[in-house]
Amino acid sequence: MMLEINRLSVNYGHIQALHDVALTAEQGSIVSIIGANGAGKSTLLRTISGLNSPKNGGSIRFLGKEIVSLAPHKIVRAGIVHVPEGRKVFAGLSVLDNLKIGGFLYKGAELQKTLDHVLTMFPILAERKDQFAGTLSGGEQQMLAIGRGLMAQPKLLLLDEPSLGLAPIVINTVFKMINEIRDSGVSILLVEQNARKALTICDKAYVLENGYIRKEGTGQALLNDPDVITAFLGESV
Amino acid sequence: MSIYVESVLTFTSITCITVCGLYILTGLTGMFSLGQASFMALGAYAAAVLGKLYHWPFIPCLLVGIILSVVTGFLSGYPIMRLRKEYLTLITLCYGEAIIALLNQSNITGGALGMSDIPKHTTLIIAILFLIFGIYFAWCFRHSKFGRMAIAIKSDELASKSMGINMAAVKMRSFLCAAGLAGLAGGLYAFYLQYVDPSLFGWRKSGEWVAWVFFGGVNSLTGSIVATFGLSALSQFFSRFADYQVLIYSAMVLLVLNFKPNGVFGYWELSDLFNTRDRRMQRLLKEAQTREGALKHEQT
Repeated sequence: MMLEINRLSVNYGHIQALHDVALTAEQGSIVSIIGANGAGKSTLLRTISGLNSPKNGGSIRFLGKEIVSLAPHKIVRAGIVHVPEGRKVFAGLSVLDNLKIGGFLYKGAELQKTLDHVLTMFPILAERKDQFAGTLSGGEQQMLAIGRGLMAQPKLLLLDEPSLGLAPIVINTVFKMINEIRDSGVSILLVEQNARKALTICDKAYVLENGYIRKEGTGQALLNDPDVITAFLGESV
Repeated sequence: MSIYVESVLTFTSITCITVCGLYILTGLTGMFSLGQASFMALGAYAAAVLGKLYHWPFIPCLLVGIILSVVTGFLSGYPIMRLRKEYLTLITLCYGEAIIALLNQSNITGGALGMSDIPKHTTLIIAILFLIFGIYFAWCFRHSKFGRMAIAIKSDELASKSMGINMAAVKMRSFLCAAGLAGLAGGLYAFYLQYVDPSLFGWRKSGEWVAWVFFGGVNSLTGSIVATFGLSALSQFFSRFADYQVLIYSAMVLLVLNFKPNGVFGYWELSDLFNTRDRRMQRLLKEAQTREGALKHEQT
């Protein structure tokens, strides 16, 4: 098992954002987490990558190792990279420098190899590599954010709302990329508001509501689930 | 060259070495220090004590000053590097004043009277050589992996953290580089002025330097240096108005921040003259920022 989360609870002050969350992800799979605003999706990702710290007793095991109280930079070294919500590219740096920051763990030939790999994967970034990241369009910035994450050679990529604020046609490209990344051997944990897309692409999905996991199953099963349809897909049954 | 002009130039070059450190700390990493002058004081006093009382030669004195600044910088910075950047400003302010208070009390350094008759080692040429070293150091830092990581932290702490950048380590590295350069400048200062006393290194000095860096453009090494030379020379020539200096600086900084938020030089570097591509990029960035600004304006 690649990622195994058990009894994970997270508080913001007195407000509990996650209640006893349990989740597993297989090697080489896409796992989606869907839910409304404020359900705790981003909190879950932030806790996995060490940006938030959970209450005692929770466990996050990655490739058999406990990572629950590690600092974020150690978690990246272990192989988990978090692509945060809203892209957050470094606007004042060139595309190439943004990517190099992502690959700061490596140098010399290793860095060049990863860079070439990412640039072949995202030809648009190669085309614009000397441009300031702030001058890219939303979709290109999202590609850059994902590419920057891949530069750290992750085994598990956490994607937080990669479709946020993008045009439908660009969303399709982004999801195509996510599929390609999975095919290249990187497992993906995907948080999305665009439930239909997320469920179509994933191998397994969880529905998060008010900090509780309400449902889990394959993407197809949830797509046909009447509760999910009324709550997220906007059709009446 | 008259002695007066020479001394103004030497003092300005020495100050400029500290400003190179501030460019790394404030310009690249986005942290403010109001205690840079106290690191300079440590360098100066180390040079004074070793050079005058123990007759050490020039370079070892400077080295000890740098090491002293870096070590005390590490000790004072260590507890706060995990906190938000704003805390560094508070701590460095307190730290700086504490150092000054300590120097005022200490017997070996002559207390508030200071020390005089320090041997004279620094000349204008030496000061300029060290300044070139300082600029080269800051330039290399900017274009290294460390510089990129520092800029990443300045632009977005959350994204840098999630990229796996060890924020505390990067911030500490910038802070220590700035402290070391200030220590070096302090040593040169003591060996030129031949006299040190604690009142030379108060927080007002540190605040003045931060104002210069902002005036010239916090994102531009060229801007910081030009502003230092321009403004410090100006303040030397207008020393009659010393009482109003802080007032004038404040007005200037407010005006610059209001009309040119990125400072007089913005992102411009001297090397851009030879690099037309970068200039195009900057134009594009500016256009994008204007677009974004207009968009935000529409939304509100």
